[in-house]
Amino acid sequence: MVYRDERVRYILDSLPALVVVLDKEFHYRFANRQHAAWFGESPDTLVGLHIREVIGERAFEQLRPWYEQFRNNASTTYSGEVLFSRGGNRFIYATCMELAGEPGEDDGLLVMMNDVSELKNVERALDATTLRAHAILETAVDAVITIDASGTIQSCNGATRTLFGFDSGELVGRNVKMLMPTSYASQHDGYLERYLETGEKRIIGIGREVIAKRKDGTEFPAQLAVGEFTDRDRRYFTGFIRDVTAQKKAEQEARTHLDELAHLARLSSIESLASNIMHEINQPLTAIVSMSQALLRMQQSGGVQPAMVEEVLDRIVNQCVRVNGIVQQMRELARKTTPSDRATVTVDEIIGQVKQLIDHELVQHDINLTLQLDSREAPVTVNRIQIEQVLLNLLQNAIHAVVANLDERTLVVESRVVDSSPPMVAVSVKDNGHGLPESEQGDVFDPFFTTKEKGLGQGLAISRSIIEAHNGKITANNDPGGGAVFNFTLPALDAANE
Amino acid sequence: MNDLASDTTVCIVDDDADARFGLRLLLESAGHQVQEFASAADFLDYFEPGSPTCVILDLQMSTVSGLDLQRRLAEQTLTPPIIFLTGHGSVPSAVAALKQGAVDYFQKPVTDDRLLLDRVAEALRQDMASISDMRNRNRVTALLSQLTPRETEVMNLICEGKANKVIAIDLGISERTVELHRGHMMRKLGVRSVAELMELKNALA
Repeated sequence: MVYRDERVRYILDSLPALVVVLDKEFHYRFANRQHAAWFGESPDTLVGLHIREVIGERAFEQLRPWYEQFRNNASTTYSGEVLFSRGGNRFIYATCMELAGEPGEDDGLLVMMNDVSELKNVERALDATTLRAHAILETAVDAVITIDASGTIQSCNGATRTLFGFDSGELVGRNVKMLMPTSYASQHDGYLERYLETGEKRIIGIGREVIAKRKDGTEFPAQLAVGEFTDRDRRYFTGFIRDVTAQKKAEQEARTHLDELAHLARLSSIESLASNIMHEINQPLTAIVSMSQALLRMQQSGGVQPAMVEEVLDRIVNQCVRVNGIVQQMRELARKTTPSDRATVTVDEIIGQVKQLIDHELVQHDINLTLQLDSREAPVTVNRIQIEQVLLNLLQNAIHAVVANLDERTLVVESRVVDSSPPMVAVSVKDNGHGLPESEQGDVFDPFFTTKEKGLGQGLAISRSIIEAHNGKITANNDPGGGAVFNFTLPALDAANE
Repeated sequence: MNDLASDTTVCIVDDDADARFGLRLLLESAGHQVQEFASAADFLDYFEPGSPTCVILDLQMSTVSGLDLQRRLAEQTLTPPIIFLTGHGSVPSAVAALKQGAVDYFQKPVTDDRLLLDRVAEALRQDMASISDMRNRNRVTALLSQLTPRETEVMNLICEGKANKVIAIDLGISERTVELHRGHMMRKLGVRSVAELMELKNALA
């Protein structure tokens, strides 16, 4: 037998496989070093043993029908799990073939086996992961669509059909633009190109709200998140699309509700401003009426110099403009707003407007108001009237707080830009009153919380709702120097995002 | 032009310059001399009792309110008449103002200029009268202080309507002496008849 040759033996021992030669009754004629070592034996002790005694009864019974095939003069392979008496359950890959015997010897068989359990485990794990990922994708509520760098759809999940009405067969291979309204679609190629060229991320990893188009042509608001991956040097983008119609509707309803509440609170706030407003209007009216009366009198008693007429009429017009300004502002404040009433303004502008409303009150109570405004560079997109309302509410509270002071009564309103992401505009209203009682600092925003005799306790609760509807925050604290500080923030317009 | 003396002044105290200007023009068109003040403090600095003045005062001023100013003026010997202007229907303050002796009050804007001007003229006349009353009183007091105790006694009895003869008996002196005192007294007071004496004394009533 060749395997008894030293050199052949040497080669067989070096093979990365378990090699045995058996007689046709499955007794060992030869085992290489790997085989013996795998079963914990030495090659020589195995010779003459029945293979059953080494691999175990169960393994032998399982493999026997396969071994038997050598008799058909064919080389066969086996791949599968076998339970060995030593070593347990292993996944093997084996080849078996007839091997002619030495002179005077029967023919036998040559079996070469590899333990591929580890590889198999990895493969199984990979399969499981893929399956799981696939299952997750298929059961996801969001549509998941993968495109290549040219925008061609590579794959999509089950939710895509539910959301868009297209079967995957209708989508794969076509450009993703078919899922967008024309206005978006026409720009999509440009977006892709720009990203591939500059690498500047405008949506990848950020997500944004978009409008999507169904098969039947109807459109819906969607939240789109995009991930990117590279496979064999090709770039792909996976989009996760969520229908936010219901969410939008709920938001809209909440905002409408807030609009109504805010309007009511504003009316009550205007009511408390009534004496202020009347004064503001009566002063110019007094001027207008008396100037006109004077002019009439002068005319009746001998005539007026034309220069005089001109000057007085000029002043009358100015006073009319003054009244008109006040009336307009009141009308604005008393107006009902809708959720879509947002405009881009600076907070400093709003603060200036509100100051005018309370100027007289400040003078009347001898209150010193300092404005330190520094947010001109960061406009905000807000419902202007509602933010005016919040400021008015905070200032009225502050006035109420300092009126009890016997000596100095000071208010400070500050605005500045906070360099966060996204950048925010921060506003604080500080007074030098008695401050908030320690135990009540957290409660001031609760509805019906009030320290005023005739207060309804709605002002701050509504202010908080308004600020939160604008994605800002409002807080109340005591100033270390005495008095209360109310802070609120509003997201500044991010120039880069527009 | 009005019929008032040329030394009368209408003072407007209001913190709103435009409202002040309008009122000033109206008052000047009716022939008044006008002074404007932006605050009660400015007015108090300026005001000297003794020349006929009418004050038109905004009830809703800052720092020192109209009512405060009214109280401060009332502490003076000669309180000028005050016409209040109220911003809107602040009835309680208007009532308080009237109780403290305000001449009248008008709601801003003052639509009835004739009524306002009438009240201003009336107030000025009233102030002129009180000033001349005051002057008269001062003069009479000064004259009376020149009399001797006996002359004063005689004068009082004359004012009671008693004849010289009765006074002589009352005081236990001769009728001749009564006549002497009476002559001195009449000369010192500058009166020539009992009627004139009575008028003089009435100034003090």
